[in-house]
Amino acid sequence: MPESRSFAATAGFALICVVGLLVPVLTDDQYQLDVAMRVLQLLLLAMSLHLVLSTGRLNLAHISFMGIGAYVAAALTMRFGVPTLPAALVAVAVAAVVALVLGLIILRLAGAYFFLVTFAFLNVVVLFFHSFFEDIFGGASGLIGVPNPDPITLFGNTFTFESRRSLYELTLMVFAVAGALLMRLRYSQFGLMCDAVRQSERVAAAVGVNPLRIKTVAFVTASSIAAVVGTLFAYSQKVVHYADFNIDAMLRLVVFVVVGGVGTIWGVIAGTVVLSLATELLRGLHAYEALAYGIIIVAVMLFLPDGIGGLARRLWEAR
Amino acid sequence: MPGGGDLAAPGGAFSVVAGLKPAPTEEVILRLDGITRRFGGVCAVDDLSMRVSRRSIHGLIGPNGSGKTTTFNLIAGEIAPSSGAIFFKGRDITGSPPHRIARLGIARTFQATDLFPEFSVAQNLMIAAQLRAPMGFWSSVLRTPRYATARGKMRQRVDAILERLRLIEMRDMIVRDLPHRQQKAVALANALATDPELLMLDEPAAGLTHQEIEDIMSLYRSLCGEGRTILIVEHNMRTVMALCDRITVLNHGRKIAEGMPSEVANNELVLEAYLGKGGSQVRVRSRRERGVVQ
Amino acid sequence: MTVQLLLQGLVNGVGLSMVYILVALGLTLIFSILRIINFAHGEFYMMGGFISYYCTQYLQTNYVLTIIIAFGVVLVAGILVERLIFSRLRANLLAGFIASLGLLWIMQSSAILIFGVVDKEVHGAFDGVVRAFGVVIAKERLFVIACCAGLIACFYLFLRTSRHGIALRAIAQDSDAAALQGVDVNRLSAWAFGIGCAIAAVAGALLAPVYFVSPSMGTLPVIKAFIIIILGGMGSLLGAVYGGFLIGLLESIAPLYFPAASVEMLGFLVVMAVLVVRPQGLFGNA
Repeated sequence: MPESRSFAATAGFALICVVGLLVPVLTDDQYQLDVAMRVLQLLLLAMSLHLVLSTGRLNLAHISFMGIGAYVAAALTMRFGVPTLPAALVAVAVAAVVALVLGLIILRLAGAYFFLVTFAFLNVVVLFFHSFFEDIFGGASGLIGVPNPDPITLFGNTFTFESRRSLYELTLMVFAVAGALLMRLRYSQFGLMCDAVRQSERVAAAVGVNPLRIKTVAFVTASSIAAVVGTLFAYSQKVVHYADFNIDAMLRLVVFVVVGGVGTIWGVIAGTVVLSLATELLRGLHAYEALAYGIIIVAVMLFLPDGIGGLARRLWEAR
Repeated sequence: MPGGGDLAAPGGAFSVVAGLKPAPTEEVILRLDGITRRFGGVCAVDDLSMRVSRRSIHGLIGPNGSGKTTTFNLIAGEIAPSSGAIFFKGRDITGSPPHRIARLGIARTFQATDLFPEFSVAQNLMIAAQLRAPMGFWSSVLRTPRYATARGKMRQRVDAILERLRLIEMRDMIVRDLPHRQQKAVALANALATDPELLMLDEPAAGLTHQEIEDIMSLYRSLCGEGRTILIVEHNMRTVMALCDRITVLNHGRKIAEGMPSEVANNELVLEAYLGKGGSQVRVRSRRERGVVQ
Repeated sequence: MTVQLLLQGLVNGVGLSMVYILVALGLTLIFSILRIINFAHGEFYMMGGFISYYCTQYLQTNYVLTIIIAFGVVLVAGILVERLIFSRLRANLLAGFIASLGLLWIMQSSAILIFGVVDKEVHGAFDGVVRAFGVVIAKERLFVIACCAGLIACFYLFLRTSRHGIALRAIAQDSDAAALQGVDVNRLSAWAFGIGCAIAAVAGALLAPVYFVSPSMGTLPVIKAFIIIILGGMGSLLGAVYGGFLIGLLESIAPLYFPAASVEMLGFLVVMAVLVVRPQGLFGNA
């Protein structure tokens, strides 16, 4: 990847982390902290989705792994009394295993078929948490009242998570670490190989790159990070309900990513930040929000198919 | 030596005088045993058996549709034969996937798109070069010092190959913006970056000028000097006759002739295949007969 | 379970199948000609239902006439949408899909803003039921079945025998070859899109008296239609018909024996299995 682009992206990511640090300083309003938390979670979700997109596949079930992470962590904590950290680790492990098994089966499919399979899988997951093991997963009502995470003791200091602010700080920390990991991957030899696989699996194989392996590693990593977001979501939102992981939620995420521009990770970041904040502003005006969304998407697809990121890149190269 | 050879090593590639090349060895590096491939009712390759000697330049010729590219695809692992077996360095590679065959030491070029269009020339080669210095997910995450030195070495190898093929000035240009002829050169560079023992070239001379063809012929000879083997599909008869140690001729998927250029050139069946019935009346005089060489 | 119940289930199933088949036919026609996965297809179905509602409610039109009006209006709307939006996105599959998503949101939210979210009732032309062999069928449903069957037959004949129909099938097989033969691919693609949407609208109008009309009525049928064409083979019209019957019957009979949630989940699992093992569908060719 050309150095100039990685600098722009890293700078953008660092900027968001800095802004993130300033938010709790600037405001004490619970609602605004919640918005900031949701934006950070969405960002991590979008950035991990980008990892899969960089190998040339659109995983329409990405949000289902967030759901698996959320449900498993919450269920372990609430039904079985498992402490926070083990519950979260098990949740992510379960998601990773599911992703591995699923990925090995479906990643060999061509793009359009992969897309449809993941669409079906998303529905399977929603139905699973809605209708099966109701005593564990809460059935139609979902899981309500997820407790706060257990206190952590590090280097002699004990951190508790009883306030929104502390939950926000936890979210920010996880975002910084996982986000940095994703940025690092993007601009590394592995990231280059992902892009190569996306451009031509045939040529990649001819020069010794195993396309299935690259796609699977990306898929499992991205899904695991989605599961991490899921556990954060569970502990911060306090409610885990399958409607948060259905096709509507996933498509909203896809819109963020596509409007931002699938080609670049900072495009994805920009698109997510802009649109998720816009969503918060339009919250409550459901029909108008949907109408506005629809018009924006169609306009962007017609006139800016590379998204905001693509436009920015073209402007940068033309200067 | 092949596999461990470094194209950039001084005295390696350029120590061989252009125009002369060492004789091929007796050792068989590639062997096809009764390879057949059917597509529905059509038999694209029919009971093909063939041996390629190490350090030789082996030509594969025949009229359009005779099964040459299918044979390449079979060897490279993109498709599996309906029957028969393929051996590389004595090892059965029938049905192995393409990336594994590349790792074993076979590289190929394609007739059409064989590059990563959005990447620069250097980035294309960085992907191919990583075959000999594998690094993947964990090294990219952890960024050990080994990762940095390995990447540095890769960049050096890449630049050396680009120098040799006179592409160094366009190392940062995006490949899809390059003219076709240079794209072909990048494709060859890519194949070389995997440090292959067997190089399969699919019509590399198409669209080149006479001088350019002379240049790449001397390049191929020097590659053989390094210990590599070349299997080449080519339509340009002059190139084939001048370059190849041995030629296999296909028609309708079957082998109709095999041998040294002079033998093949005057083979009746070959002439018929290319020129139709009555073509066998035409006799091609070899370069020696024409007095071009002693 | 008595035979009676089974028969009743079968009959209900046939009616449901027919409608799904219409929607699926439209979807697969669009996919085979234009190669786009049109998520907004269900909204044209919904549009048909609302046209029927609006005409009967405010313009006092005869119900049967509204079906024809729905076909015409949505035909024009579909052609416009194709010309304005999808024709520019032919090359990019992902962009086309995303755009269809945007279209879905535009259409659904417009319906909510114009008509509100409350379900609307539409009065059909037929009241009462017919009893035969111990099975009860509403006359309305018989009408639906008859219309669907008729429309499917017409559609089949059109594709087989008419000049334009054959041209459409040529485009579906190989659009470049068809263009070389003198087929105006752009114009026919627009018409194909329009017809596909119009068929869905007729389905919506036909079902309006049977169920309610609401802005979200298109979501379920389009998901069912996707399942049908994946099972039947995307781009295969006969596959859509067979798949439609399969799904419709399964849906009517399976809930008699199994819990509904399992049936739904099984449906999606079967879709996944088909896509992995036989992506061209049970009836399509590779």
